[in-house]
Amino acid sequence: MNMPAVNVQAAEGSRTEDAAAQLVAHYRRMAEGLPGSAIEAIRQMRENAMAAFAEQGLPHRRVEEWKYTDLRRLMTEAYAPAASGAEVTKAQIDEALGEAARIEAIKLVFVNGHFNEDLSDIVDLPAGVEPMSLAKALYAPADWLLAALGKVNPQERDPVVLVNSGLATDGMVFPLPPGVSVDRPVHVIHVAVSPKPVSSAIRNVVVAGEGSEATLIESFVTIGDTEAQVNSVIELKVGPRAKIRHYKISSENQYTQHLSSAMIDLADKADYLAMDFAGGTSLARHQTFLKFNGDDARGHFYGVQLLSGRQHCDMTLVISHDAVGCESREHVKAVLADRAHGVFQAKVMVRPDAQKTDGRQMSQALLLSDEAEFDAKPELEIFADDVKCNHGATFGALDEDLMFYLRARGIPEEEARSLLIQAFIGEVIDHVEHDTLRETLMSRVADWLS
Amino acid sequence: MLEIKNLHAEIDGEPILRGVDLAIPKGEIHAIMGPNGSGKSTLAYILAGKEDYEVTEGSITWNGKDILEMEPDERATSGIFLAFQYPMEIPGVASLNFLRTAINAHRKARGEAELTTPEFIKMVKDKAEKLNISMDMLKRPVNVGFSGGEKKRHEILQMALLEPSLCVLDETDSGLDIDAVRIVAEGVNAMRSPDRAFLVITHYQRLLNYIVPDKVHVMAAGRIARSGGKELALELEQSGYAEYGENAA
Repeated sequence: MNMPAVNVQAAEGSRTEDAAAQLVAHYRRMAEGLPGSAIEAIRQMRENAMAAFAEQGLPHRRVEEWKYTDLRRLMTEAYAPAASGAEVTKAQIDEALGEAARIEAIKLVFVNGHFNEDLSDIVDLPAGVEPMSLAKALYAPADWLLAALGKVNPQERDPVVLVNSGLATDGMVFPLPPGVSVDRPVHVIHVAVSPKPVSSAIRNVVVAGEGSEATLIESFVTIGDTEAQVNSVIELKVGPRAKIRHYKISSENQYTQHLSSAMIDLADKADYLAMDFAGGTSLARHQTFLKFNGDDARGHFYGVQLLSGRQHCDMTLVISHDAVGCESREHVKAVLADRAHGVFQAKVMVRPDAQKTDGRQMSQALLLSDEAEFDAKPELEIFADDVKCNHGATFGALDEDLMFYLRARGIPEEEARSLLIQAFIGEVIDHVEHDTLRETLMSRVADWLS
Repeated sequence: MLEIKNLHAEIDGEPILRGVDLAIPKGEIHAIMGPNGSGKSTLAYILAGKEDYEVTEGSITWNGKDILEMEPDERATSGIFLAFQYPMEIPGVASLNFLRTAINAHRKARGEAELTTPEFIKMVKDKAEKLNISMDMLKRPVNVGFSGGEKKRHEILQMALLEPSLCVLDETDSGLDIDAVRIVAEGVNAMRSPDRAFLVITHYQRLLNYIVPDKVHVMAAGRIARSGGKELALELEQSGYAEYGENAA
């Protein structure tokens, strides 16, 4: 069935919808050249997504899920999607990555949303481990990819995911065969580099087979003063007894707006742990949609927000317990200076049959200034009767008594503050199971503080 | 030499100290005893520089320097150490890291290079052993999950490592059994020196059997009400603080 053509005029109806209209126009202009355009199912997915997006436009504060992140106000312009072929060197990327460049990994580098094989490191891959470019894969998509793309815990009404479905130019697709463990992390590096404002839309699809194991790291960097809008989506299907560690480090510059979404589906006894580390960008929304689709699975999410100036960072989770005996954890810690604004929203739904669910969420914000703001919105919707769920939130300044204790030992005020903040954030970073990455993140915290 | 003259201080507008006069020469140990609420701990906190208290009158000098204008960390690196009555728990900061940061802050203030890791570990090991503190305990976050006795011994370890010239011990004996009191007292006695002054604050005479003071002062209603030799402590043990405004226990 053909969908009606997207009506650009309608979206342009009012000035406040300029960015939404621009996104639709970008899509119209690019549609024919987007990967998979020759494949009816893919073309249709993109059309449907953009039509659904055009209907609602960018979300605003009267949309409950976006109450604290008024995208209509914060995103007044939709930058043009970047062409491929931007010049950037490995040295520049390594410098932007900092210590994260040292992590021994299978590396896939995407520049402005386009895979760059020369900058990547995908030689000597273990047997069965073949991460590759989505754009390339869509020339002749494998059945598994067609079955997964847009279908892993799908979010058919989320405006950010819809735009990504329409505009995605590339990303990593990674089928991990059953029983295979990858000895090195798979590091997906997204680079934005451009003299003009630029946008990218990246779609990653990972399907981890039964009993497989892998560590995924997603790094987002900008080169120089590039003004970027990044929209990244990962679809991640974790098979029975598979174990996935998933770390996302957003360290773009202050001119960048970062929107990322993870759509995750966990099968029986799947073991998933994620950490989002947010710094840098002027605007960030990290969305995690996590569905417990098999019994006795475990899904943990940890988040770190280090914000200053007028930075805004929103970590929003929607967790659906659809199976028996699963364990979910969400723990976000934020350190907010100046007029920064942090947001944590977590909606946990426990379906009628999801007995023995064990769900806990916690957010803790350290406010270093009177003008900083943190909003926490926990939501529990429980329809099963035998469950254990709770949530908590704390807000506060640094404990003056602790500060005094440290200073009474001769530790100067700045150093004492920094020690306490590192300890505060360290409790979340401790969950990172990769040693070099954990050290990298701790030194990032130290850098941020200095 | 510590000299406190006519010290008045208040918290939230309520006067706590009402004219304290006290002088402790180097090499001496002075004890301050007194009923609860007499201002003993307030005096200790003010010496260390806690900001909750407002000094409204009087002066404190240490080796001739006015310390009231100094930040808590400056006072510490000038040689003033407070062993806390209630040591703080610091989740996420390992004791070893804390000790090292503190030692290096002192070294930096003296213009010395930071300790290397082997130097630091050796230094801590030697002193921790004498206080019956294991290295495993020091790998844990500062005071988190420590027993009352461990916390107090940890305070004395810090004192031993930082080698202050004025040691203020605030109710270090509270909550300790007799064996723990003995270990703590040995730690303190080992540090007695002609260059070092001690102010030992305690509610009970017991500690002073082990740390024998040169002088004993009784604090009551924010003033030094009486001063005497070590025998004053024994007398107080007999008579209690009734005449100083506290009902006999």
